[in-house]
Amino acid sequence: MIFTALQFDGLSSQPRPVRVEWRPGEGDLVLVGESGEQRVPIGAVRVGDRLGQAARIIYLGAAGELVCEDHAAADALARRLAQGGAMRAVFWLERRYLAALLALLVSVAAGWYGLRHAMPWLAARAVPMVPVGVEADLGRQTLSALDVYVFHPSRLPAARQATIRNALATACARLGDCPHYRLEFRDGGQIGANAMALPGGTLVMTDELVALAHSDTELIGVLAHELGHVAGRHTLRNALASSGALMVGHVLFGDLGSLGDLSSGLPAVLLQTSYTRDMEAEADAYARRFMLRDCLPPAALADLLLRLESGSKVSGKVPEFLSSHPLTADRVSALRSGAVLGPDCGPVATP
Amino acid sequence: MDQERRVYPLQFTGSGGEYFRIWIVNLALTILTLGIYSAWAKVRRKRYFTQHSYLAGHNFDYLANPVNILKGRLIAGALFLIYVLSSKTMPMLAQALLVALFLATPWIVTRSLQFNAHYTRHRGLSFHFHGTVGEAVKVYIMWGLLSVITLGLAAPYAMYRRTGFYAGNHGFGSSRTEFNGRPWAFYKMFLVALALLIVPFGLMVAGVAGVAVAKAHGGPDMMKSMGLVMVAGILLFYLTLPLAIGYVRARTANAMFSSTRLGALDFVSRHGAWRLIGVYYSNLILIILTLGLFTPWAQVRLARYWLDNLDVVGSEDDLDGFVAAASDEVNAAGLEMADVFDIDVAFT
Repeated sequence: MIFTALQFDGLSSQPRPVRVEWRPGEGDLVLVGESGEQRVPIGAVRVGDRLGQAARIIYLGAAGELVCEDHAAADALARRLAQGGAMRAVFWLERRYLAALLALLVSVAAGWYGLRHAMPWLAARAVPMVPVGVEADLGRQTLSALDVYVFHPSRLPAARQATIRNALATACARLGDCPHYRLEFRDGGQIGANAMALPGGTLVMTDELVALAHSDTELIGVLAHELGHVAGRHTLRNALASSGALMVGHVLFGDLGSLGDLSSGLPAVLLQTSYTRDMEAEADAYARRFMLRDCLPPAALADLLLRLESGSKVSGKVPEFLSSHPLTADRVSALRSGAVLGPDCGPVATP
Repeated sequence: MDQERRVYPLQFTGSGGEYFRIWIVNLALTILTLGIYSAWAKVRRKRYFTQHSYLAGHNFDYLANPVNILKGRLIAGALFLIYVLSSKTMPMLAQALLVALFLATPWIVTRSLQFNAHYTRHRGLSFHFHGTVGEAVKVYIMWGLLSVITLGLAAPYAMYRRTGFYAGNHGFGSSRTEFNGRPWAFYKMFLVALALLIVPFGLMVAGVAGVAVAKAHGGPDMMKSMGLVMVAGILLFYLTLPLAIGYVRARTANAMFSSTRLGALDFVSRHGAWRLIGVYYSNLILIILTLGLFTPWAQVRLARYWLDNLDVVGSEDDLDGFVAAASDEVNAAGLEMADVFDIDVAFT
């Protein structure tokens, strides 16, 4: 095999045109230049991988390197020396639009699967490894931040607060499997009628929500839903899953700089909201079981949900994939479907 | 002997369509190998940019060993994992890590610059970085802290020193770069950036303060309007940011290259601030519209901007006359640490 190339000897930046000669089986690659002949032991030769339109570089060990445009010759040499097979396959793929399309589909599908299923699954496995105390700290910090920026002290009479607390405590005592919790009341301020579960088991219910409810059964339903979040340690699971997604994003797009981070973050946000959607459904299911076992109709929670939605003007218009809560209609029908009270319940349990 | 000094433009010959295919194929391979291929993908992507960068008809080369990069990635990834997990669960540990990272910055930056330079080659010779960790401590920690203490007055000077550390400590073969820039250009740059950002920043701060006041004294109406001011301020601030960053990066390049010599070679930077700002905004919009798929084109456009606006001035003998220097191996850990924690070691 004979081809022409430029040699850089590794000692200076001066290029030297050479004719490269090699017969398969011979021990040396022969470089013929103006100033004479140089022999390079074939064991020292490493053919660089082909990439895009770039000139090809063949590394010669102590003799420096060759740069050439003759890819056919360089590929033939690499094949003879059994080098760069994997990267030749990668180059073959990189040239094909069909391969690019396939790679795009694989990436999108894997990215979707990873964020939607693999990451939450991993997070759920990792949650038991985090001590409960750590979670409680996080909950306390969140509550004090909310107290500064959002909430005002509750204006609910102490007797009313005690009634609701007792109702939940009684239900939990009866069922015997509630997670550890602490119930707090606050004036909701900007967020209005709402209830939330903070990490570590703090439940917050706003005065506005208490006012909106027509019965204590509805409130127990909401608190059971929040207990569902506590039992599943959803906040922590979400935090772990999004941290994991962030890290994988960094490995995949890390060297893209800030623009790449932005683009990798965008789909992640969309998928992350639907992860919380799953958790809402899980908490609803928890609440439904809780209420049925406690001889309460889950439909009461559905009624309150509907009232909440008609109270807020925007939530009905947000398409499902953008909202963190599943559409109310779906939740309501799930709560109302086949509501059969537990076998120990009496004939009536109307709110 | 040809001693005539000529202008040799740098050229980027890559194309967005070609790089897109390389990018997506390597991304898919990374996913299919559960991340192990990521180090090879990284080297390949980086080599695409260096091998398609030409000076006087000869291209550059990037020779980092993916296995080293994989090792560095594992170390950096473990640290990053500890950081993100602890930031959600043990904020104290996360803070301690950040402080440790800040203190380790000079080491990481120096190692990363060494690594990058060492594996970047041209005409068979390696680049080098000669900056020491001691110098980096002065530049990054001392001047960094001083610019905080002086409420930003020393910040342009700190940036001038960082630029000098970067531009004045590189070498090619046995030749060294020299940087003889002046701090004034950096003060001017900061003043313009400040002028660009002062209104959105003021609006943002006023909104935040207004919300706090409204929460304590005002009614829901005041809260709502102040909230609007805050959101508008934040939005405007982030929309103006590429303007300021583009301006500062282009001017830094001008200031840096015009004051840097490599052996007998001079540099001419024709990097226009408006052109870079245009590239930034159009890239951002197209990346958002295509949900990230435009990213490879965006990177190629940036590479073209940086290289096609840079000239080397010297004689052919100067270009041919570099000779090799003795060098030693560099560990990849520093490089990857900088990468994962997003420390921008480039000249800004």
